[in-house]
Amino acid sequence: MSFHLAPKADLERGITTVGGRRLVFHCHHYNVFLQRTIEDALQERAPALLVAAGMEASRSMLQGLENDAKSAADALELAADTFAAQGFGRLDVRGLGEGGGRATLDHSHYAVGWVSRWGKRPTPGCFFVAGFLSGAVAVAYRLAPERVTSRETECVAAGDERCSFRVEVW
Amino acid sequence: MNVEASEDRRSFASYGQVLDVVDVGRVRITRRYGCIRRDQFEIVTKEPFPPAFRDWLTSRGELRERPALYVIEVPGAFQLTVAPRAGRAILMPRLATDLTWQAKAAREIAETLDSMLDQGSCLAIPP
Amino acid sequence: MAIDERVIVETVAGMGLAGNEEGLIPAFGLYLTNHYADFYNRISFGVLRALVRENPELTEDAIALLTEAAHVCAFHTFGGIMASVEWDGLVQPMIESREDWVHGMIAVVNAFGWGRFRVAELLPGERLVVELRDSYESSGYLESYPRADGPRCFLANGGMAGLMNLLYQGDITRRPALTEELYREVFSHPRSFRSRERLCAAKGDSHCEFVVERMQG
Repeated sequence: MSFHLAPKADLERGITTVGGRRLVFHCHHYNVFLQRTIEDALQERAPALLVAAGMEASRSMLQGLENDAKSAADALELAADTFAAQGFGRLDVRGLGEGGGRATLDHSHYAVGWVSRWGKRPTPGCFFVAGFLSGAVAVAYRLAPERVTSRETECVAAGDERCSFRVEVW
Repeated sequence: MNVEASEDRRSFASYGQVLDVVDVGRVRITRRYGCIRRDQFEIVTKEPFPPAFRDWLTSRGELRERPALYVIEVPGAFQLTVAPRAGRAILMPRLATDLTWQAKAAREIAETLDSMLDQGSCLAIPP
Repeated sequence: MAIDERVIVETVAGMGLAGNEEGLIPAFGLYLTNHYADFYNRISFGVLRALVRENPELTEDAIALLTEAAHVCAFHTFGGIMASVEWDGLVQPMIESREDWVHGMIAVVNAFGWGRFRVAELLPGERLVVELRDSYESSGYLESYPRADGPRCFLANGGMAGLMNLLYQGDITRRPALTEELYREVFSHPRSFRSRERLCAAKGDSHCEFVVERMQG
């Protein structure tokens, strides 16, 4: 497993970066608790914030990936490898293209973490992943970010067999 | 491992809750709830793990070794993190494996470790 | 003090904490992510601003929510780390006193990318002062917002309180089970620890500083 760019660690300053953006280790307890805190506080407005934050963060970090890759599809594969190396699960992005499409996720960190703490939830819960996919598609196909939206249609945390996402390019 | 008893407890378990404790000779296995598809297994002895145990594990997967620690990755099966001097290891099975297999893998590791302890190979560890 | 921070930081950084073929990072008895600081900052400061915009009187409530998330993080993440095999192999042999648990945990966190923590003062069972440079929260805040009117390192602040509570309220040295009951018992105790971010780079200070003390009960 490899990142498209290896993380750079400055041990003296306690800083790790990829693509100039900072990475920080956190565990599933914090990740799902923070998400739940935000969902409880913002209710129906929470998904928009969580997905947009995932999109912005991933776009910033993956910027430049499209120049390293042989093709847009290759760039998406590199993004998926980076995602897996960062501990979020294993994405299958072969169903994605310039017009959007479908992606699936096995072993979602967020879904597995949610279920391990609280059991099933009524609706899909991998908002960060939906945002990541929007950001990755925007970078890979050099699209304006506002043209790409993504939402999770099936989620392990909601009792489905696997996590599945629909990406649309407007 | 008593898989059926663990199954009953895991219906209501929360993360990290002890499901089962089994002694395999001089090795104690503590099974804890991880999530619906995975448990975690703590493997403990009262003495340091023998170097032969590390060698046996190395033959099964990829070794990452740091001072005082080593990690064996067996793709598709498990990760075992070992603090040999502390006589403690944690087995984290892969999600793709089933719960019965996970318990069997933990037991196999414990049995192998116990047989090595019986041979007194822990004495090979320098002070 | 027996804790060798350099050895701990270099060992943890050299452990190759990256996703396996399932795309997961099992380590320290936890599932880790090497996550995007920008994401945490965007959602934390975003929920704060959303609640305050609705009703400025909700400021304290919003900060309390984020602090609670930090307490949960400290309890499970720091607690999990201090009960882990990695801790047993790497840190435990260096420990000579209860206070070394604080120094050992700070050393581990210094390999997590959160910035560089330094213990400035530790009065056993009573008080902890920690400095933090290059905090990802304060530096992230300043990238997106004007200088803050108050501290913004909610995760680090709550984390420091959690560290003292784990050690002196929950006695993590006895390796208790990290249950929800223990969490409530430790953090709801009238004499439990709370942290105050006295200095914060987000409000113009040169670095961040946390003062952790017991509540007066």
